[in-house]
This record gives sequence, structure tokens and C-alpha cells, in this order.
Amino acid sequence: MKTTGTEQSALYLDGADTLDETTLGGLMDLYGDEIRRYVYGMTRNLQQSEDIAQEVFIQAHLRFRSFRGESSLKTWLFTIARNKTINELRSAYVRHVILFAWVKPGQASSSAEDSFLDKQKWQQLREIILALPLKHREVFLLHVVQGWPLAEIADLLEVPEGTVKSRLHRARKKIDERWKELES
Amino acid sequence: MSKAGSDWQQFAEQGLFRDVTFTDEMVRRVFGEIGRRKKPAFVTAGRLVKPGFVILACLVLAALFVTPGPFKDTVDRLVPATAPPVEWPLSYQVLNAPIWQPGETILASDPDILPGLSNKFDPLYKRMVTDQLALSDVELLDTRPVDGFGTMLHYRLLADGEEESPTFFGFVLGEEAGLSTFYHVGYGHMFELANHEMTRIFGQPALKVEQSVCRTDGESCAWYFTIEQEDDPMLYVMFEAGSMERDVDGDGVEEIVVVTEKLNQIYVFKEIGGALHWASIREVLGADVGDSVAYHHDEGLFSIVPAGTEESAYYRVADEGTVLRQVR
Repeated sequence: MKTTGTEQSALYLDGADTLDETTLGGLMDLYGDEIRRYVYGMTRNLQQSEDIAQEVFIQAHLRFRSFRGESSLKTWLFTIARNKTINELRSAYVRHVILFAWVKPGQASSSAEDSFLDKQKWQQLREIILALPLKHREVFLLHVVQGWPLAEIADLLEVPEGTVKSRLHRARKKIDERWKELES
Repeated sequence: MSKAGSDWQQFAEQGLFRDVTFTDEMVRRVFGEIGRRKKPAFVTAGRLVKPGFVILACLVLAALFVTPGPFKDTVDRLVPATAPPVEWPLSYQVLNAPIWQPGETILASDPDILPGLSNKFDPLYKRMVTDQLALSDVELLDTRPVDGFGTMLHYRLLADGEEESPTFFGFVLGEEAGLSTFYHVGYGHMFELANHEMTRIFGQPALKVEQSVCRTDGESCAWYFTIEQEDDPMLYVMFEAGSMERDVDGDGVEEIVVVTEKLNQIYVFKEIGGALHWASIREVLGADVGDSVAYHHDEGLFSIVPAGTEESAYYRVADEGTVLRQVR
């Protein structure tokens, strides 16, 4: 994996108690969006994704000594994010659900060049992906949306690479089916 | 891959969740929270100096109160033989908070309605539970009867199909065994992680769903459901902090005492004229930063421990709810 300047400076701190604030700020710039999107894809809840993503960096700062450099800093941050997300999902805690006031996926950000049709398709795809079973959704998000190599996903999930491939295949198949239904 | 497949793949790769970002506000909150969680240096130092300070304080107090001598006149002035009870005026004010509308997203960045209380909207929802599901559409995982209300249900939607799909909480009212439908209320944590019991709030019976481990910041949550005249359930009020019900002022109507971990706040809520009114025990007692306040539910007492001491002063609501009076 390519190591960024921010990562390199953080690696010098391997064994230190905390990340300094400059490095932490750099990590938030670098991985904040990705981590929040991953958590959002997993929880399907904007609010939870915000809370958990923030907590990931707070924990990274306060417990930096637990980073041993065995994985990349990015994988370490995603491991924290994943553990926190799974804990949240296990406790099934959704803070803001009140009589099924479902938190709907956020609206597409409007950009001038997006056609209405594209926006509609984009939103439909998003809904299809968010409706995938968790295991398939997670692998899909990491590989297709975030661009992670399969081997890294296998490391993060602590499963064989073949399992990742199989989940990805199933995710693609389901999306393909649903997409064709919508197209027809 | 089919043309359709490559079509969606292109959309996915272009950035499926590009509107979901780690905002500058989130960055600020991370730094703010880190600062808050780090213990100030004097706390650690306090552990070292505390025993010495306590001994010194004891010696000074002994000189003042036990030993007759030069301080005798001062002591007499400070502590009259028949000191009147310490009391503080207690008044309530109407809660000024936005009303939540169905479908409205609640953001963590929204301001808390009161210091330390994480609700972002008026806790007095008073919204009918309208969603109903057919029992044939769910896989029932567990049930729990609550006398005086109905049967709590824990289930999974058959349409979700997967073992890892979320579970849900709902209920049937009364002795409605055999009914084909039930009320669909919330996620499974409201069954799995919650206690269910009947209580009374604001002069009426209510089902309390209490989840002690609820929020990521460690606060509890409490939902109160009532049954309205037409036998329809309603989410009456919901607090995102530990909540207890008690007629603290003896007027025959139960208030809700809400105790927050954040900022160590205690609020007493009354419903007056269809609106929530509140009083902050911290404010009433004039608690300063570092002073600790507590609510003792069994006795209906509030207490305060001033910073740097271990002496508690206990107060009870008295004089028809107009004062907090020290009882010990």
C-alpha cells in the first residue's frame, strides 16, 4: 500500500501514547470521508456514521499506543471503525429511530453536470446497495466504492480472500438483478 | 459483465456516497471531545494533595467549632443556635424546543435542548403509533407480557430474509392474543436491551421502555407509551438520558426526573397545559463547576456535594413544589 506523508509521520510515533493533533488532523483529511462512507454504508444511518467516524479518530488519538505498525495506519483505522460499527449494529442501537422515522439515504449532492436521469439512477443504485445483506454490502463498499484490493479486505475482515471474492460475486449478482429489474 | 452491469458499476465507482463526508464541523468536534476527555493536570495532582488537605481542613474546623477560644464569637455568628432550614426557590419554565416532524433527520450537530440533555427536539412527541404489521409477515423471536399494557414482541421481517437482518420491537395491546396484526414500533434493541414496565407519568399510566445502555456516549434512553381513549398507543415522551418517575412535589401528578451523565444535570419535567416545563436542580441549588448533584429516587431527595468536599447536603421539594428545602 502506498504510504502517505501523514501516514509516515504517524508511523514515527509508533509506540507513542497519542497522535499529535497535526497528524490527527491530517489523518482526518485523508481518511475521514472514506471512513464515514464505509460506516454509513454499513449502518445505513447518517447520524450513526457521523458519531462512529468521529469516535474512530478520538480513539485513534487516545489509544495510539495500541497501533503496533503490523498493519497500515489506514487498515488500523478501518479496524477501529469496523469494530465500532459492528458493536453498534449488535446492540441494534439506533438513537434516532422514533416510530420508524427512517433516516433515509441522503439526497444526491447536486452538481451542474449531473443530468436528472443520472441522479435518479445514482439514487436507485445507492438504495439497491444499501439493501444488500451486511456481509455482501461491506465487501462491495470496500472493493468497488472505496477501491480496496481483495487481499486488504480479507485482512480487515480476517477471512480468506476466497470468501471475500465469493461475497463480492454475490453482491454483484444481486445488484445486477435488481438493476435489470429497474431498467426493464 | 452485462451492459446493465457495467452501467451501475460506473455509477458506483464515480462515488456512490460522495455527499457523505467528514465535515469540518466533525473535525472540530473530534478535537473538542479529545480535549474534554483528557484529564486536567490538577485532577491527578489532587490525588496527592487531598489527604493532606483533608487533615488540614479537619484541624482548622476543630479549632473553629470544638475548641473554645478566640474563634468562639465568629462561630456563634456563623451558626446561630436555631438556624432556619436552608431552602432555595424552585420554579419551572416552559421548554422551548423544536417539534420533531416525521421523516425529519436528527443530526448530532443539532443543539441539545438543554445543557447535558441530548434530545434535539421536544421530548413530548405525543405521536400515535400507526404502523401495523401482519404476524404472518414476521418471524417472531420472543415475546414478553407487561401487565396493564400488552405483549412486547421481538421479531424479524420475513421479507429481509437474512439471518443478519435487523430485528424489531413491537407490541399488541391488552389480551389480544390471536390477533393477526400488531404495532410495529422500533428496532430490536428496544426489546433485547430494554426493560419494560408500567409506570405513571404526568397523571396517567404509561409503558416505560428503558434502555440503560443506549447512546454511544453512555447515556440511557427512556420511551414512554400511553394508550389513548380509542385504545390506540402513543409515544408520549422520550428522553435520551436516565429517567425516573415520581411525584416529587406531592401534587398527585408524577413528574419525570431526568438525570444526565453529561454535565451532571438533573431536570424535573412537568406537563402543564400540554407543554413540557422544566426546572434544573443544578441551577436551583446554585451548583458551581465541580460541584456534584445527585437524585436519590427511593427517597425522592436531591443532593449536592460541593467540589473538594465529601459532605452531601440533601434537599426535598417542599411547600407545594415551590422550594427545595434541606433535610439533612
